[in-house]
Amino acid sequence: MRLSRTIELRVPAWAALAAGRWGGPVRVRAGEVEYAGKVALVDVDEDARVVGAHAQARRVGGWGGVAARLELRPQDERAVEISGDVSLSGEASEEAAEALLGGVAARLEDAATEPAPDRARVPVPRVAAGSGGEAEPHEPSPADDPAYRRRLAARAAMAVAVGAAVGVVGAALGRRRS
Amino acid sequence: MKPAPFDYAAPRTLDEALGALGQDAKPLAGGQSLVPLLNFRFARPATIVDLNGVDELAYLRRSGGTLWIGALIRQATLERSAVAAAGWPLLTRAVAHVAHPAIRNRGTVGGSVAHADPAAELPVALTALDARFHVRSAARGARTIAAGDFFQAPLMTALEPDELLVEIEVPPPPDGARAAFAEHARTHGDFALAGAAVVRAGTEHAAIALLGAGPTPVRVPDAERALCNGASAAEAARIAGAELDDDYRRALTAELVRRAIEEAA
Repeated sequence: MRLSRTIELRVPAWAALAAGRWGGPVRVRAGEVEYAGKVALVDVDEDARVVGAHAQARRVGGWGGVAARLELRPQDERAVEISGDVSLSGEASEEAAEALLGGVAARLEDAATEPAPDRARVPVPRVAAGSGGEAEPHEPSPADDPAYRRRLAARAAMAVAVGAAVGVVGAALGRRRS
Repeated sequence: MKPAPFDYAAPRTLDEALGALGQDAKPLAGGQSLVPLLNFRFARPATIVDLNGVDELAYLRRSGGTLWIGALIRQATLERSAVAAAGWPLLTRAVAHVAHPAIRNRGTVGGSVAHADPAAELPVALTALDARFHVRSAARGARTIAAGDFFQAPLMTALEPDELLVEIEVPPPPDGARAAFAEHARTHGDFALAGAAVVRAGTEHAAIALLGAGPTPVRVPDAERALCNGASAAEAARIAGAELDDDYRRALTAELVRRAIEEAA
């Protein structure tokens, strides 16, 4: 199924398209059904001024999916035409295809208004393997909490003890029968 | 097994990545080759430099008729690219033979090239397309290496320990060129025993690169000249296969080259 729509951006279209910051998760609604997936930039054809993208989403809590190979072309300074072949699977409806295209358009519009993140300011995580957790920065983990580790060890010991007891009882019963 | 201990660096920019590379550091991209090597402890680098945060290396762009592939572009992205399919169909066909979709979703083009497995598809296709590899190092700056000079031995390239493959430049094929890729693997998705990448533009241009025929991707200039001089596909394939010592591989390679030449005719 081939679909297309044109949207208007608040910034110059080609620069926004080629930057590719609009890629990311997509969550759309087609009627009562929700679809979750992502859109990603595939290629940039500077000669033909076309950007290729791939979008896909799966039905939340059901069977069905929608996937699209998209072409994004600047129409003039700020307008972008999004077109592509959309394929449906399972219970996905044509409404889902339209919704996916809408989700891509929304991401593009949002990204075209957000300031670019300054990647250079992001600190470089550097972790020494086997050194426990002295490296920075790292996500807080429950395993860092000694109380949590003690509880985990107690549960493991309990499981081993129960297993051993069951084994001993089983062996004793087996001897009696024989 | 689990990997031997290593330091882990996750740079966000290319300069940070180059700074983190050194004598005993290994760059990690898709991890589809390096991680198994680490797990089996065939590789024991002191530092792993995870490139997955370096967004500036993830692009696929046609500019001035040339295809520019950032080293971090995923193989699945190359497979989906309409630009590559239209201008460089050999790459699309070759990458479709790489393992399975799950591996292509993570595996990168640059990783496959830098790993330099003699049975890998992308190095062979890029050799047939006369690609050039742009590498950079913090100390020595940038340099460009032709495909013929890049691959030196199995799993060995011209990259120095502190150098990083950053970009692959694929020139436009000659006008009217057609391309084909054929390979044979015992099971689907396995490493191929033999294969051939062919680019042909009438009698003006012929490029034949062989997979699994040597320690690196092998070009066969004698067969290419024969094809340009009007030799049949079977004759050119026989010449290409003659490079191999083993009877089975020679017959298999010659047959795959013949099929590829006929498909690209």
